[in-house]
Formats: sequence, structure tokens, C-alpha cells
Amino acid sequence: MKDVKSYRLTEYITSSKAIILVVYALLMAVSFTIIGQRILSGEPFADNSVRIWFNEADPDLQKFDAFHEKFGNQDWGSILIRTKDIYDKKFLNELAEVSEEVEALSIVYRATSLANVRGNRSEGEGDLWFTSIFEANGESQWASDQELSQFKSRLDDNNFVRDLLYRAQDSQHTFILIQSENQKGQPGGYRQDYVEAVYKIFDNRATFDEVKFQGVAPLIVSLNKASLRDVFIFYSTTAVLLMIFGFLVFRSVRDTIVLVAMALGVMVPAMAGVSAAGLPYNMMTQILPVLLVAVSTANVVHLIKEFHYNRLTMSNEESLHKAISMLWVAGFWAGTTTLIGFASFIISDVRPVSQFGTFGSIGIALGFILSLSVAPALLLYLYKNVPVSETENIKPGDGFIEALPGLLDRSKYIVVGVFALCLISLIGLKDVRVGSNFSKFLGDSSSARASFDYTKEHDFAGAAAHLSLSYHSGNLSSVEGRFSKLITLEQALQKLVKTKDGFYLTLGPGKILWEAERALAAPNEDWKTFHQYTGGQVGDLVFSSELSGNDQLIDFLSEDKQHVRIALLTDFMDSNEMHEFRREVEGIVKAVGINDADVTFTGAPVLLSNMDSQISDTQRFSLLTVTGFLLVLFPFLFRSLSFGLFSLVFNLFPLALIYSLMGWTNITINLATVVIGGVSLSLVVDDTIHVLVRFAQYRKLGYEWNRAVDKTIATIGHSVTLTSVVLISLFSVMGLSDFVPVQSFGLFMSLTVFVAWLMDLFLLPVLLKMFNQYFPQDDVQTEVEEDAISAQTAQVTGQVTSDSRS
Amino acid sequence: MKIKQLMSFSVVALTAGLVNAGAMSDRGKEIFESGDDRDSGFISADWTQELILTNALGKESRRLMRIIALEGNDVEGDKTLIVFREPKDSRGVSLLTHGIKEDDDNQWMYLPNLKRVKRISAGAKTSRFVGSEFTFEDLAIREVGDFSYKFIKDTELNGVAVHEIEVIPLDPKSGYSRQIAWIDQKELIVHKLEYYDKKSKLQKTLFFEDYHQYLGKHWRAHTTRMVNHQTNKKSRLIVSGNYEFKTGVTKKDFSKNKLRSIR
Repeated sequence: MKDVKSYRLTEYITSSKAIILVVYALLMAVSFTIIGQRILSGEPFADNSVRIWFNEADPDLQKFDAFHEKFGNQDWGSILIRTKDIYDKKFLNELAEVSEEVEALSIVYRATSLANVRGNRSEGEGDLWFTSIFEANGESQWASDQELSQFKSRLDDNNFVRDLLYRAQDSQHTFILIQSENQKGQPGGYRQDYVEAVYKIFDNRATFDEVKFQGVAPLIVSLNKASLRDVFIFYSTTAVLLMIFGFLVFRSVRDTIVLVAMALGVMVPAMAGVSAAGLPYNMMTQILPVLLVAVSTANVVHLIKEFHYNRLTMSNEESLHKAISMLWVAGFWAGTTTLIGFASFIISDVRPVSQFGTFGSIGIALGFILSLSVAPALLLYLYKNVPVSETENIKPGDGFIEALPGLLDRSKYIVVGVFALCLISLIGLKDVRVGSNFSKFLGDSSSARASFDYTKEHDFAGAAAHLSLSYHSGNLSSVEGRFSKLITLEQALQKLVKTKDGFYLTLGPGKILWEAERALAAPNEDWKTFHQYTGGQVGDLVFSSELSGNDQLIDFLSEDKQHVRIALLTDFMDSNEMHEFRREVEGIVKAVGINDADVTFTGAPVLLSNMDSQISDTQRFSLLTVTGFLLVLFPFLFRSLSFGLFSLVFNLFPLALIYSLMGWTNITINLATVVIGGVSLSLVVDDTIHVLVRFAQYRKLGYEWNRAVDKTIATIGHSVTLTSVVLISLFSVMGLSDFVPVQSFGLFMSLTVFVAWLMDLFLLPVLLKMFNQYFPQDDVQTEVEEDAISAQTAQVTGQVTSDSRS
Repeated sequence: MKIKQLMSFSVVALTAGLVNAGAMSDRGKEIFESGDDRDSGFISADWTQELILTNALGKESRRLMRIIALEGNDVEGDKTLIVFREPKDSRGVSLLTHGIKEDDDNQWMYLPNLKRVKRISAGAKTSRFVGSEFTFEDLAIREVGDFSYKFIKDTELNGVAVHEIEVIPLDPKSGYSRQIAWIDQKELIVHKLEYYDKKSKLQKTLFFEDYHQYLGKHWRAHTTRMVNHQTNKKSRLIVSGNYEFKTGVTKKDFSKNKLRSIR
């Protein structure tokens, strides 16, 4: 029945190959048009901003948005400047100039630097001034040592400025804190303009030796640039590799054309789908083209190889028919498994992973359809009237494959022993963990990564988390004791960050109001009195701050005093560090006894860290889905529960080994590596299915167990090897990525396929034969019997063909 | 920018429509100067107004203040006292300004709950006044030499004949590159003022609405709206009730020591 179906399919392809190719050409034309329109639309081509990772209904994103509604949509960034002496007046004048220019950018709310930061100044008993600590006047020298020392002492005396903008022990570095607009929902283009404008302002400054810009905006711009670079590198390298593969392995322009047509036929429509959905490239969707090309061309390698093998003794049509009839079942189930693997990501809460699953599934489905339509049609078309040459089917490695069964028979215990030893490495599984650090997503050579590292090295903050308090009723000053608790909280948090490596300082309303109090009460300021302020006293203090033009306060205390923000300046943390920090912060909030406010710990780095749970869920669901499917498929396919379970465990091993390796090397499951599980499991089973289905086919034809194993290796070993080479080499392209997680993804996928290849070609035949050795399945076959089966096979194939034709 | 300017603005600029210009040579200057002349002679005034702040999401917060003003003379500038009534925790906070001709004004702040009187100086011109869309510069009284003027054209605004005049700040620390004023041709009161940022992009528009005439001479806008086009935030100043003129207050009522007795 299956043969009849495959014959009808072959007949349809034969008679309609022109139509198939025209439809293919139309599909490509439409897809290229959609992609072209997207390029010409001027919309940003890449977007890796924070929001793209979340669904709008995500509770963490909603908290983040609510926080922004209270305090304004702001990105916090910073520029660390190295100079010879931060107290040099020439430098400070230049710093004042750049601060003003940065602040003049329409996207920037505020740029706070040593050259423009203001502070309360008390003069005499009754005067209160809120002025710039440094007055830029264009003079290159301080008027006197006294003037310089006054400047230094005003800086040192200011709790808000000290440690934030400079370090007393480091006179070479200073910091500019930049608060810029976060244009919610807009793709990243505006950020690129902003970052470029900032860098332009800092170009060719005489007194600046080093300028490092870090924060959410420069990070996202770097990620977007990396995405675009990756897309270019991936496309070009993939194209070159396909050509090389076609020429070196098949040594045939015609076969190379089939490969390239398949690659384009899968990749272009899938990416057109991404474009049509209005989605810019992100770290996940950018890897789709390579992945789809790898999978689709790997599938068609089986067909090309089988077609040529059959052509030695049959006509083109018969060769194609036999190839399809032999590959149909394995190809269908292998394709379905891969499809399930990709589709398991569709429901992920991490949006780019979901997009990866959606468009990846479309590509895989399309690849399967094209491998049974366009690829056969092209083979028939390209090989029409092409004579079979004796050398046509001799491809690199054939000799090795022919010798392999004998080799395995001689060294079966060594093979099993080596793989058994590999089991020891699985102890690395206990170290596998989920974790992301966006600042380390970029390679060492990227400027954003270098900025973060430099800033950290010199003890300045590279990121900010925010603790937001929203009082259930009333405001900060309307309930006795609230202000005191807030001050206690700020102090406790300051104490916490001071004791931790990579944590710097807190900024909050208490700190700013204490500055106001010091100026108001000078010289009789008293911390204890301040701490006990309540009601109208707090109101007076806030009002005096507002009235004296202190516009920093508005960033930390909302106008109605109902919402409070405490900024915690830290390094850009690993998500696990962030989780630990969060727990400590929440512990402090509880200990202080703030129970009359909604407390939210948020900020872009926090939000990104919170994705860990979604990543874990995605990983779990994907693996369970694919494993569940295989649990049903294998016993059904092989008509044996024990054989099916064995196949499943067998295929889980390469994945377990890779996870183990990730555990050993401290590579976490993150936004990109999360898809390794589902994708690799669904891919590695492909070759196992091909091997075992072929083995079952030979068994069905009457071959003795061990002979069926040998025949399987001899007939399909080469194409299994070739598909593995295609997959490994194309996945390796991702090693050229600027994204460390994508590099890891490419590397580990390549390794998984390599391990799977070793297992399919070396371990599986050995295990099958050992099974027969200990549990004999049938009598040993003689060569005479085997010849009879071969003849019967040819007859059956011919008969089916003949029946179908009639 | 100094807080004194805020109070001066509250009394004169906001109510009379920024017509306090000095000797001007061209037509734009002359128009401003004429408006200033027409409003002189109010002696003293007392009124209550509400500052309503609206954020980008439409959420409002309010501050209520009573303003008492004493007109200056050729030697002394105007004196103003602003007493905040709401929010409750700012009740009684007061600002006293003594305008000084051709010099920085003196300004004191009284914080009733902390029981402190401080002479104060505001920060940069571009700082916002108590969280509103008004900066100290917006609320400042304009001295004669602070601007150059360029008459643009006579036109109509909402059916009213107006002069359209460009006003360019001369102070390099100004937050604006220019302003455009629409001045009633008949009454010489400002109906609308546009503020352009340093990049000449429209930043804010101030609307003067609901004008009332007092004592047959003094025009006062009872509603003043500032719309920030870049942040979508708005602030309104709405006069509650009516202005009272010639209330009998004297210089003694504007002394620093008097602040502590204000409730």
C-alpha cells in the first residue's frame, strides 16, 4: 500500500514537475517581495529590547509598566570617563559642556555629572541655596587652592553625589548618570540614534582618555547590531558551506542546485512569514534561517543519495520511486518529530522563543513538503537524459561505510565500553542551571561588553534595580512612622549593598531629603530628629526641596507622595545573583515592617532575570512534549514496546551528555540555549528513525538479524553521515555569532548531532547485534538465501511498480 | 531663575498677560509696553488659586494657594506672599518675595511644621515649580532688557483680533530658543504663548482663558493652562472666587517676621 502511494506520488511528480517548479518559483517570488518590502519600509530590522521577550499580559511586565507610570518611562544609563585628574578645571569645563549637550538630546531627561550636579548650600544662619557645585566658567585653572578645596569639600559633603559620580580614592574616573526616555512599544531604532548621538558628543574630547557608555540603551543597540551582523554572516557563510558541501560531497552541480533550492525554499518563506508579521529579527529568530537550512538540506541528502544509488540499476523514475518508498515512512516520522520539537516552543511565554517555534514549525513543515515535491521534481528535471556514470555514486567515505560492519564486529566491546565510560560524565547534569546575564550575551570583543567590564573593574555601577513602594492609603507623610520606616529601609538597603561585591549604593528620597534637612537645619542638623519627622514636617521638607528647584526628588517620590522609589545601583547581574539579591531585599522590607504598601522589585535587569521561570517552563514543556511524542511514536513505529523504550532512552543520551557538558562548563540554560533540548532531541532521532526503519524494512524482506544490520549500515550509513556533516557544519556557523548564547547553541547542537551520529552508526549496530547474540532472533542466513531475498526484493519492487502503473 | 520671579509672575505676568515690558523700539516692544502701562495702579490684590497638575495618564494632583500682592513704586518692587493651603501636609508653607528694582529679589520660605524661616534661592531656570509644567522661567516677570521682540503680523485667534509677536530670550541660560505671543489688539492682554525648546521644537503652550476685568481696568485670566507637547503633561492655574483689590495690606504685612504668624 505504501509502495503504491509512493509510486503515485512519483508519478504525480513526474507528470507535474513543471507545475511544481512554477509554484515553487511563485512561492519564492512572493516571499522575496515580502522581505523586500520589509527592508524598504525603513522599519528597524532588529529589535532585542526588553519588551520583546514578554507577552503584554506578563505580570512582571505589568509591574514594570506600573512602575514606569509612577515615575516616568525611563532608561537609566551611565558614562564612565577616565581622565588624568577629575578635579582638573579644564576637564570639568569640558565635562560641563558634554553634560549640557547630552541633556539637550530630546530623548534625555537628565544627565547628572560632577560638572552640573547641584546641592543645597547653607550660608550663614538663614540662607539656603540650591546651586551647582561646580560653576563652569571656561577658565582652565582654579582661581586658588581654596576654591578647589571648597569644590572638593562640597562634593565630599554631599551624600547624593559621593560614590555615585566619583570615588574619593580614585581621581581618574567619574560617572555621568543619564536618565533617558524609554519609548515603550517602539522598536529599537530610536535607541540607536540616541547612542550614536551620545558617542558623537564624546568624540575627540581633549581631556577624556576613555569613555565607556553602558546601560539598557547601549546594550540593546549592541545586541541589535550583533543581530544584523549575525544575519549577514549566517546567510553568507551558510550559502558558501552549501556550495562547498555540494561540490565536495556530491561532486555535482545538479545536486548542489537541489540542495540550494531546498535551502531557499524553506528559509525564505519562513523569514517572509517573520517579515509579514512585522517582527524584527531578535536573538532567537535570527538563528532560524541557519537551523531551517540545516534541517531541510539534511533531509534531502537522504533522497539524493538514495536516488543515485538506485540509478545504478534503474531508470530515473524508478530510482525516485524506490527512494521515496524506502524513505517515506522514516522521512515522515522524522519530519513530524522535528515539527513537534519546534512546535513545542509555540506556547512559550518568552515571546521570541514562541516566534522561533511558530516560524520554525512553518519552515519544517514546508521543508517536508518540498522534500517530496520540489526536490524530486528537480532531480528528475536535472537528471533527464543524463547517463549514469560508474563514478557518480562513489562519494567520499563510502569505503569507510562499507568496512564499518566488519570493524564494528571486531571491536564491539570497545565501542560499548567507551560509551559506558561516557555515562560517567552524566554527573555534570546536577550542575545544570537556568540563568541569564544580558550584559554577557555579547562576546568579549563587543564595545557594550567592554563597557560593562570596565565599569565593574573600576567599581562603578552598570545597572540599576528599583524598589517601588506604593502606599495602600494616604502617602509618605500622612501616617505617623512611615517616614521613619522608609529611612530605616534605605539605610538597611545601603548597608546590604555596601557589604556585597558588585553592589554599590542606593538612591532614594530619604537621602535627598536628608540633604535638604542638613541645609535647612545647618549647623544643627540632627539625624535622630530627622528620622522622627512625621506628617507636616515631612511635607515641609518635601516642599522645601521642590521649591528650591531640587528636581531629583521627583524621580524618587511621586508628586502625591504616594509612591516611593529606591534605586539600587549594581553591576549587571547574573539572573541567579539577582534572585538572591531580590530575596535579601524582600527580607529587609519584611524586617523593617513595611506592610502598608505594595512593594515591587523591578527594573530592566530584574525583569530579564525574572524570565528564568519562563525559561524553565519552556524547557520542561518542550522536552516533555517531544519525549511524550517519542514515547508513543517509537513503540508504534517498531511495533514493540521494549524496542520503542530502548530507542527513546538511546536518543536521550546525547542530550543528557550535552546538558552534562553545559553543567561542567557552567554554561546556563538561557534565552537561546533553552531551545537546545526540544530541537536537538527532535533532530537526533531523525537518523535513529532512518536507521531503525531501514533495519525493519530489511527484516521484513526476510534478511537475517545481523545481515539486516549490516545492510542497513551499508545502504543508509553514508547518508546518515552526510546529514550529520551538514547539520554539524551549519550549526557550527552559529559559532561565528556575536551572541555568546547563540555560539553556545551552535556549539552544543553540533556536539549533540556528532554524539548522535557516533551512537547511530557505531553503538546502535553493535547493540543490535549483541541483542541478537544474547537473545537469538533467527538462524544465520547463507549467501544463497540472501541472493534469493535480493531477487525477491527487486521483483516485489518491480511488481508494485507495474501494478501501480496498470 | 529665582522664586521671586514666580511670585511676581503670579501677580502680574500671569494675570495681566506678560505685558511688563520696558522701553521698546519696534512695534512688538511698544505693544508690550502699552499693556504694562494699562495695568499699573492696582495697589494691592488678594486671591486664591489652585494649581492642578495632570500627568501623561491624566491623573491629577492639586495645590491650593492664597496670594497677596502689594504693588511697588518707582523705588521698590512689588511684594508678594504666597501661602499654600493644600495639600494638607504643606498647609501654611509660605513664600515671601520682595521685588528689588534692577537686582535679584529677596525671597524667604517659611516652613510651619519645621518652624523655620529661610532665605532661599531657586535652582536653574529650567527647574519645574512644585512639580508642575511651569518652570521658574515660565513664571518669571520679564524685565525690559531680557528679550528682543519681533512683530510678526496682525491676525485672528479664535475670532479675536490679535498681534502675533516673537519674543526671544537674551539670557543664554534660558530653556527656550524663542516664544510666540498672541496679544489682544484691543485690550493688550495675552491669549496664548508658545515655548520653543533649544532645538526650536515646540515644547509647551500656555493658554490664558476666562479673563475678568476688575475696577474697569485690570484684566485677570482666571484659568491658565500649560500644555507640554513633549510629555503630554498639563498644569492649570485656576482662580477660585474673585480677585480683591485695594485690600488695605501694607508693607508691614510683608515683613520676614510676620511669616511666623501666618496661618
